[in-house]
Amino acid sequence: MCSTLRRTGTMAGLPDNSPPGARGSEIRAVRTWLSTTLGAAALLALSGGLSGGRLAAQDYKVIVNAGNAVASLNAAQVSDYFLKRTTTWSGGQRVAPVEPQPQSATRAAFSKAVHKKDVASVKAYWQELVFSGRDTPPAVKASDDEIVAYVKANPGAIGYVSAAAETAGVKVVTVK
Amino acid sequence: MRHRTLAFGAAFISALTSFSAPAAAQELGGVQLNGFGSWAYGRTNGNPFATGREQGNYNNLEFGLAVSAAPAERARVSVQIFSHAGEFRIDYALAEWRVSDALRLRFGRIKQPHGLYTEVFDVGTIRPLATLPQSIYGSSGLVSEGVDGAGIAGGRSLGSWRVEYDVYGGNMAVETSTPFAAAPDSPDPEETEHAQDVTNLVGARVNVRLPISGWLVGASGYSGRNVAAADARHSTVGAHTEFRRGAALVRSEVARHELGTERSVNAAFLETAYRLTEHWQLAGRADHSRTRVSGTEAEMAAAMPDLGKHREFAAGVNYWFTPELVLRVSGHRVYGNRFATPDADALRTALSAARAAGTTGVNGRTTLFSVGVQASF
Repeated sequence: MCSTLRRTGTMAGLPDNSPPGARGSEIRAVRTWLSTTLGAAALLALSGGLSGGRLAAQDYKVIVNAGNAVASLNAAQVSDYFLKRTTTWSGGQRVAPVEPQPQSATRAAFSKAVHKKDVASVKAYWQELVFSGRDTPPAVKASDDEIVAYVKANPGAIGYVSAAAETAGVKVVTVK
Repeated sequence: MRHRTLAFGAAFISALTSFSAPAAAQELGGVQLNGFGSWAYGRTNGNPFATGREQGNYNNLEFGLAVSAAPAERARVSVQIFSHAGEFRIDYALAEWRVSDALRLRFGRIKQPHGLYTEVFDVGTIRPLATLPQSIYGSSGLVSEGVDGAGIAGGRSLGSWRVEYDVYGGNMAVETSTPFAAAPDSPDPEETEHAQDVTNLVGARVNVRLPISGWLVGASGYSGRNVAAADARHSTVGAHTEFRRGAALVRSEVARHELGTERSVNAAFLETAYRLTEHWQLAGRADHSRTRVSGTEAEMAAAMPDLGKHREFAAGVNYWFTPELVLRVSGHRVYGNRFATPDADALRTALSAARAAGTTGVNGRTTLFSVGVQASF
């Protein structure tokens, strides 16, 4: 980036009828920006390991309504349901995600394993959608019992609860 | 009006800070209520810049309230009201119909989908520093906060890739400051800041989320007709990238803007932030913009190149009480007067004196110190 600034800086004071070389140097400046920025991001990304890492130990259970035909999902599908990127089940039913309070340990474990993000990053994602008028976050319930009750009552619901939670009346889905 | 706004804003901020638990959106009978607010004190060593004035500036109070409801399964209606320095405006007021996840129809006043920040222009808790990069998001005429018109949007996951798009059209107003207009022989000597209407514009943005978790790249652009410039073509194209994972955040954009043959802007910024702990975060920014003009202002621009130049280096420390409430302290060093400019009268006086003396006239270096709080729920 610094080299981009220096290169562009050499154009300071050019009159508006700049010589043809000015456009060439702008193109070079853009190339420098692209290579520097993307290179830095790639290094950061690789230093943190590639995505698709193994799921953390299951500190949570993903549950759906007992009438839902789905038996297993992969982590990317679950993430898309909770980020409202996929809003209908394959049968056409509207997906209704529900999750615990932001400060819950279950939510932290789920975010890390499924979204590959911490809770704060997921909150930032929702702030961007809310304040651009695009969507609102999933419903939030205060306890595992309330989440189970919500999923039991809503045919399109999907939620997650702590591994120790009682889940009678709903279906526990395997997350691959 | 101003006192009422200050009182309301102060109550808003204190209500946020008084929550013992992290703030959360409020839902009332199917209507979701969210909000954001910020206050900052800024002081510079001379030229006004962003939140700062030479004598210190406390009047940087903003807040917004967003209301959203889903009257039908596929429909959503959203409105956001925003206040800055006592002025109220409607940020967006739109209706959306979801045909599918890959196709949503949007009507009304929508936030302009361009680059990284246009849709969340005023939401302080989403960015690493209190202010946005002025090169693209300042009064530079590159982007707008809202478009009155219609658009389509959608996204599709393709394995571990994800593509999201927006296409939109309509009219919008862009904020443009032109210090060149203060030139003694400018044809429009009274104004250095304008809201210019851009009509019949068409624009698009594509974001690609890469298989490397947290990495996004995208491109966006629009073109329309600038009414104040005799319907000259008003266009901006750009590319952006964001990497966000764990403690690290990197954001960068590059943009090119043209207004007919009378003005062009090249702009780029790089922002980084790193969380040392759950609460403490370091942030930094390098920001660059170069404006070229033609016509009657070109001579002044050539004689005083600092008027078209902006180069900012900023560093800050943030303390996050919760993910929705942050205290920020930052220092900014600015080279050039594109955005760090005296007010119009002072600038005009300085430029006239400079022309007579054969100097560049205006102090081209500005230092800003800023402290403030930003919150959302």
